Amino acid sequence: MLKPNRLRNCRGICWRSARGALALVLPAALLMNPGCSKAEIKEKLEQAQAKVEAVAESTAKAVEERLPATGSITLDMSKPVEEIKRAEVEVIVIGDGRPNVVQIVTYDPESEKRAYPCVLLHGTTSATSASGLSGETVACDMYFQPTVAGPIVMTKPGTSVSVTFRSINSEDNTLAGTLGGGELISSDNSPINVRSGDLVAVVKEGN
Amino acid sequence: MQYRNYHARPYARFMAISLASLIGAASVWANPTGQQPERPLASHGTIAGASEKVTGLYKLYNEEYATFQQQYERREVPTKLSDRVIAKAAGRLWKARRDAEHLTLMGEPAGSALNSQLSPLFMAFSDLAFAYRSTPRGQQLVQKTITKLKRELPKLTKFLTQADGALQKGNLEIFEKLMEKKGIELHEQIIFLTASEKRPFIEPFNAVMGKGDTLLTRQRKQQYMEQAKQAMEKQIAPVALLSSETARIRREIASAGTATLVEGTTGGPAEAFAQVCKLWGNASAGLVRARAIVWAFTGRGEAKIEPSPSELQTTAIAELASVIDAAASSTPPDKVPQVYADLLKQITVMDRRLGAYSKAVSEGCEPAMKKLAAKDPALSMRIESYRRATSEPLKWRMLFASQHAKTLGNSLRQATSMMGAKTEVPSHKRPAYARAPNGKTVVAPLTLNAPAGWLAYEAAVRLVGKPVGERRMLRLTPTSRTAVVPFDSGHYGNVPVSLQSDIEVSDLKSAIVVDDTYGPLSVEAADAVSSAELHDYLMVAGPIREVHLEALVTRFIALPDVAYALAPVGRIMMVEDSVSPLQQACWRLDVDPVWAQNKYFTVASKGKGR
Repeated sequence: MLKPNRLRNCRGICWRSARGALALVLPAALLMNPGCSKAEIKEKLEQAQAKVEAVAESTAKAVEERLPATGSITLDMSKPVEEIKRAEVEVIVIGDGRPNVVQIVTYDPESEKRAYPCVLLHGTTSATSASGLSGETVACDMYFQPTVAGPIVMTKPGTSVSVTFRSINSEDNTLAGTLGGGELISSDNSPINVRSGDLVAVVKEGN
Repeated sequence: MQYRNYHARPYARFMAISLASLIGAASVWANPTGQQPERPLASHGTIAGASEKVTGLYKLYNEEYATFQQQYERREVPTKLSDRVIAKAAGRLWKARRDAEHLTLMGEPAGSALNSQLSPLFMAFSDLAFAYRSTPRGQQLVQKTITKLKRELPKLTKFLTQADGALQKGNLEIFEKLMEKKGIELHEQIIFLTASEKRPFIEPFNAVMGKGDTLLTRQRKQQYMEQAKQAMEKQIAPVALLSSETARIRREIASAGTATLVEGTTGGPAEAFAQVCKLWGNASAGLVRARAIVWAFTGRGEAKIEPSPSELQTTAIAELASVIDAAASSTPPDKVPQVYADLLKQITVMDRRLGAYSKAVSEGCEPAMKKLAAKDPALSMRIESYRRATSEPLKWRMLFASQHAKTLGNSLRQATSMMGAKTEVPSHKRPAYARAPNGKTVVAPLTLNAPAGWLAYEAAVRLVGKPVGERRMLRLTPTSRTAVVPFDSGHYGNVPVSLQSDIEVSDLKSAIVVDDTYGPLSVEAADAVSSAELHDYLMVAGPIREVHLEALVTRFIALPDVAYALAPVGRIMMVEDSVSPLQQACWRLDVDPVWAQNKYFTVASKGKGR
């Protein structure tokens, strides 16, 4: 079926609503400038288009800013894993001279509720807070459960997964990082490995 | 206290002997196994002379069985049988059966076990005697014997009257000696006679013997009950030691922060705590031994002996808490975190000996531990942070271990179910004259209803080499080479501490931020570390290497202190009351571990893969 010409010309914003906007703007432009040339009309059309695009963009940004960041973890594993849309990072200082603990969770440890897949990354560091992790690489134990029915997966004893942190984003209080590969073992003895991963973790309040 | 030193030092090497050889000198510890079914059923020796009697009778049985085999080879040609050999055996076996019944009075399970072997052997000789009887020489012998017995009947009658007289006077020992000598003589002769032929001679003898036996049995029962009571009271002595020794330890810790333990060694609060646990173990073992003695001699399994195991537990936990209180008063603040962590570990070691998930000791000592922690103002906060920093990895690891153990143990059978199954017996080593096992029989029966050696062999032939799972493996001491699986449903386990778990243990420790300097600050973490270092496991699996058959009362009368965890601690062991205590069996399985489940990790023998 032949597509009408006008739809082929659509450039990202809904042409129909743009036409509607133009329909408001254009007559005003024409009224303000009786006797416009064809080139002048073209220029005015393009200006109007740009204004509509700008309004649409700022609206979208406003919507985003109202929701707080939840963090996320994506994992490239030997079996595909969907993106986990939650991650929180905390540095726990025990304070007696022991190394401090870095803990990244995709669930609330205080609650029984879980969403799957869920992950715990756990390692030690000399940093005393999340901001101190910027630029650091931490060797972590990784714990992973893909579904509520299991299995339970963790780093093979004696091995670890490296987590390299970038700088902290002070705007939304998140810490981004990448995971290196690692050897994993599964409680059902099925073979499984992690090749790499990305994370954006929200810094826990007070950290 | 680090438990990583498996390579025992000389003193520890002495301690690290297998379970079997740790029994007191009075009894002989051997028991029939699959490989050596001819070994005697061990004796506990509560009554003086019993152990020697047991050894002597098994020796006699072996000698007469060898004799029987020699004669048996000639059975096709009865003229080749030796009447003298048969006669001598008949006399000895008659006396031996009496001795075996005497052993039963002495509370020794070997008594009826021996009789179950001696009786069929005696019958077998009787059959040989009758085979000989059918020969010309045999018939001559029968005539000669009857003539002789008839001629000597007046003498026999006079003898019996005299014996009866000794009986009236109460000279029971002399009576028995004289009568048994005469009895051996008679039985050597009458073995070749039919029932009616021997009746005129053996009946009067049996009448007087029976009369004497009634009086002897009554006298012996009284004597042995008295001896057993004394033995039982001796076993309860360690209970008092728990309180008296702890009082001394408490005083020393409160004043100096250290206490003298054993053989002049001294230790701090955690070592002192462990020493009190050991005293508790000794008292518990003593009570088990006392209870077993009463059960063996009276048939009462629920006898009231004080203190009860749960009363002992209440006392012991109070004593343990008091040691921590003493430490709280004398430990300087800068030493408190280390002492706290070391005590937590010892607490969890003892809790595991009470039950796989017991918290009795940790809960009972909690107030005292809080008092200790309060001496270091920063410690409580650190404990809270430590808990937050380590509870998630512990939860995940516990989940992993229990799921992985399910995977590994998917088609694994538990020992108890394998032992109670009814199956055909593929082979046996019974004597030629004995009935072969028929149809399906229980693999490891709980009653000694046939000669122990037969039962041991026929169980082993169906169990050895088979993979089995056992719950709760507890190391005997921090340096022992063996661990036990506590007694349950008629059996216990003996497992070497051989699984290499260094990688798993160090992985666990780094996950909960513990090393040589910093110890665990929560009960869960302490349980993880102490069980990992000690090689205590929730479950262990592997092939059965050997099967031992023991008598249940003997096992518990002769329970060594170091094996106190073999019996339940803190509660009375339930016993079967429908079967006589001396007839009840206890099986020991020696298992070669292939994999095991700690609460927080699984470990497999290296080289076999997961």
